[in-house]
Amino acid sequence: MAKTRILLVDDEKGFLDIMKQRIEFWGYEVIAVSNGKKAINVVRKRKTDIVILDYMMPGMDGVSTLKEIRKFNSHISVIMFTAYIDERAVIGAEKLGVIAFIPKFNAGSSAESKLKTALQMAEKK
Amino acid sequence: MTKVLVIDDEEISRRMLKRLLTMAGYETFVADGGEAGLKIFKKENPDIVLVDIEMPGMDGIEVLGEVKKIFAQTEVIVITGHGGMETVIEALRKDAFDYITKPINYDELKITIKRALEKQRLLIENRRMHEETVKQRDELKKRIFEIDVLYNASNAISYTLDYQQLLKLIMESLFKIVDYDICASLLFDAHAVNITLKPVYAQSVGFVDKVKKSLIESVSMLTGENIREKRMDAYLLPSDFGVKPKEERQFDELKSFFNVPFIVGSKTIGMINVSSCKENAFSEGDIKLIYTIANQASSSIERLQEVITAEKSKMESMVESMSEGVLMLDERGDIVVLNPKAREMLGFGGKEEVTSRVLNEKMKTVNLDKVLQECQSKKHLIVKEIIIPGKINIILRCNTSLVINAKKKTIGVVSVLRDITKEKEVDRMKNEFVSTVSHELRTPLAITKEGINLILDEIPGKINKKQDNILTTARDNIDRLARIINNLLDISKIEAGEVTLNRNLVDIDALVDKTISSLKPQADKKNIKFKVSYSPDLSDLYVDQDKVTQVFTNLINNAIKFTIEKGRISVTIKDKDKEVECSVNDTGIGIPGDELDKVFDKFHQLGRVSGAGEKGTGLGLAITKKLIGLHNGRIWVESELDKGSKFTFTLPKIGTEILLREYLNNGMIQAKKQKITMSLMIISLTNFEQMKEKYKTKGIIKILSQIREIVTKIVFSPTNMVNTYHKGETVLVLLKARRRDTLALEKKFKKAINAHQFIIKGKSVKAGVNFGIAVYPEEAQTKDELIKKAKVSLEEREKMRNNNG
Repeated sequence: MAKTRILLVDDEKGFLDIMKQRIEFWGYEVIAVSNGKKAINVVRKRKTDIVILDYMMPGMDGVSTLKEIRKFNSHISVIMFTAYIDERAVIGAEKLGVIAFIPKFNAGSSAESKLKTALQMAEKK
Repeated sequence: MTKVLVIDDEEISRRMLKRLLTMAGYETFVADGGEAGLKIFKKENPDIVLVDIEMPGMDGIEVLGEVKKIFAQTEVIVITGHGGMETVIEALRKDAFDYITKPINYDELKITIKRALEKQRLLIENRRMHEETVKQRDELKKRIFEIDVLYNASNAISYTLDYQQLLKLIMESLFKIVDYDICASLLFDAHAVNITLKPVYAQSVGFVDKVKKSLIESVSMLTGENIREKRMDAYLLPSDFGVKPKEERQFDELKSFFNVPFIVGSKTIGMINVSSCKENAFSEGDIKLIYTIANQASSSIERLQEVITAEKSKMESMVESMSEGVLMLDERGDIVVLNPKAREMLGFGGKEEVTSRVLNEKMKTVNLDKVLQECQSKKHLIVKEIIIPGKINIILRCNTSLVINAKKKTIGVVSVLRDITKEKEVDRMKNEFVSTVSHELRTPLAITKEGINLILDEIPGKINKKQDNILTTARDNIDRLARIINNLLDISKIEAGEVTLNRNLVDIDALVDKTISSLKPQADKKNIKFKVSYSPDLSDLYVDQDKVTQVFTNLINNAIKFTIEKGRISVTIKDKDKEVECSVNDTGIGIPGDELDKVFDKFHQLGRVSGAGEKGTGLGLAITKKLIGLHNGRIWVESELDKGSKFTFTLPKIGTEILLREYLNNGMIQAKKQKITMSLMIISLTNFEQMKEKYKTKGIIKILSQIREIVTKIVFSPTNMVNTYHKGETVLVLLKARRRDTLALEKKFKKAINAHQFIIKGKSVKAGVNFGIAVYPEEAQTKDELIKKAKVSLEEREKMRNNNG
């Protein structure tokens, strides 16, 4: 069976590198891109199972990117990273079919366990 | 020249006397009988009359009587020839000066005339002296009176600084001498006319208006200034003299009056008036006296004004030069004070004339009128911010309070205006800065933390124990930094007013349980035991679950932090009548007394134990206090060193009705501000009574909570919502929703709720709902109207549904 292919979108290169390593370590195939435009291109051209989007990005942000993707792809599973939980944003994004919101940074707990759970949920779907 | 009249019927005697007397230097007139003599007497008015007693026709005695009748001071000397002593005695009794006998001894006559003249002179002198004495006495009386008035007036100035008192004294003093029925005075300045009236008798009150009018007219005429336009203040002093006995007066018409102006410097500042219902009631003397009094009053008033002006100018120059705007209006809304800074703040030009009307218009446009009205109705200090629109909007903080005089009477309202535009801007910039910086800090922190985690998870390769330890310490400190940033963000959001409560019915006991169990691992490490006393009968509270959890977490976390091994933490929930009192009590190190009032300040760190111990951010309690404040609760602390600390806070109980009204209120304000519509929607369970019977309140709560969740998922923007369990309703306040939008939402809600499987006691239950809608401002303008309208629409639809089957 082919590995589940994950598209990781974040404008922070450092974050992108580290997360890519971790997710690959979990056994997924990861394509990492640094902006929404590139992400849309990837989803268009290659078979992608799960998209992990950063909520806040310069230029095209996470929600706009997702809206664009939804125009031609309604089934792809989406997980969103956010630096700071904003209730309004959560409600808005949920309507676009975001499976989970992962706080990029939470004191004490770590993002990775939540991300792992979310990925497992996305795979089942 | 002394005039002598001789009346004698004997011609020889007449001629002799005339010659003799003329020679002696008297102007002499002669008459041959009584009638003729009296004629001459009336014409010439002689000083001495010589009259023969025995004359045909009118005799000497009769002439004497007539003369004395006409002018008593004339001395009459009778001449007797043949008459006996009886007639002489009669003449003397009738006030003849003396008598001489015929034949006349001329020397004796001359002496007698001289004596008579001397007597006359003495009499005149005597009378003059008497008159002089009387005059002096009167003068003295008046002087004493004037001094009395002056004395009273100066007392009034020294003790009262009160025109009314001064005028009252003058009027009462005047009454001692002048017989008036009403005394009135009028004083005026640039703004107002002050009239004081004192009717003497209870009956004379009827004149008051007439006198007032006459005074105003007189003063207007005298000064050429139309004082009718000014504000009129009239004071009626009580007529405490009662009714004058005996004298009957026609109390229906003023028959005489007299006005005397008050002149200060060379300017007429008013007038005093005395009026009477008697004709010619005032003598020349009275008028003179009134003039004197008016002059004295004028100088008293002048001095009074000087004193007041001196006092006022001190205050005025202070107010004028204040950096805050000061605005004072009297009870009628007229300007009392409007200092230059207030003029500038309210946008008046330097030379623009600001009348009370202009100012009131201005206040309306910036809502300052509402602030003053609120202060007048609430009768205490009101602190409000208003915005003066312009190129750059100016924000003014208005501290407004009532002005109360020494007699505890409200005489106006004062507002002190402070320009806080810059402070607000700085505040906003600070908040923006904090939030930007925090966001910016977060990203590198996240990357660092994830990097460390990656290594700790040995994904890039194996690490040894030492490396693991160091990296773990590094990661813990990144977490600490993150906590500080989170707190900073929280507090700046609260301070910026960006945090609103998402109230929902919350079981406080359950919330406490959950919080404690999440913190238990930390407490276990220090062997700290928990003791919780619940309040089992307490019904659920409308609070923001996350925020109250944060409050308990902060307090319990602190308690754990500052409690030494094997300590105890008690959490108590007490149901007080109108609020719930929660406390967290520890057996920790306590807080020193001098720090107690600072613990809730920002960046104040609780007393550290020397050596080890977790380091806080100094923001936890500040946030806690603010979160409780958002709920309109209070928080306080009691502590004893080495014994422990007890933090107690309250959460007011809010009924669904109040909450709904609060939501509606906020919604209406937002709608007005943004010029958008707002809708009220009631979602009501159909067959509520049967359902309640079947599933009990607990079941209803479950159903309504789930409806709430369904609704939350469908509505895009956050919505204010309450559940009324006793009615089986969920009520929503939807912003930016026109009727069309609300109906569309209703469709979605209905579909979702109908499709939903409600699980009660393990059984799947279906629930039907009905809707009532009202839209602001199109369909209703007030809260009550909105609620009523929505209920009516709900009932109508229920009827329709029932009719349809």
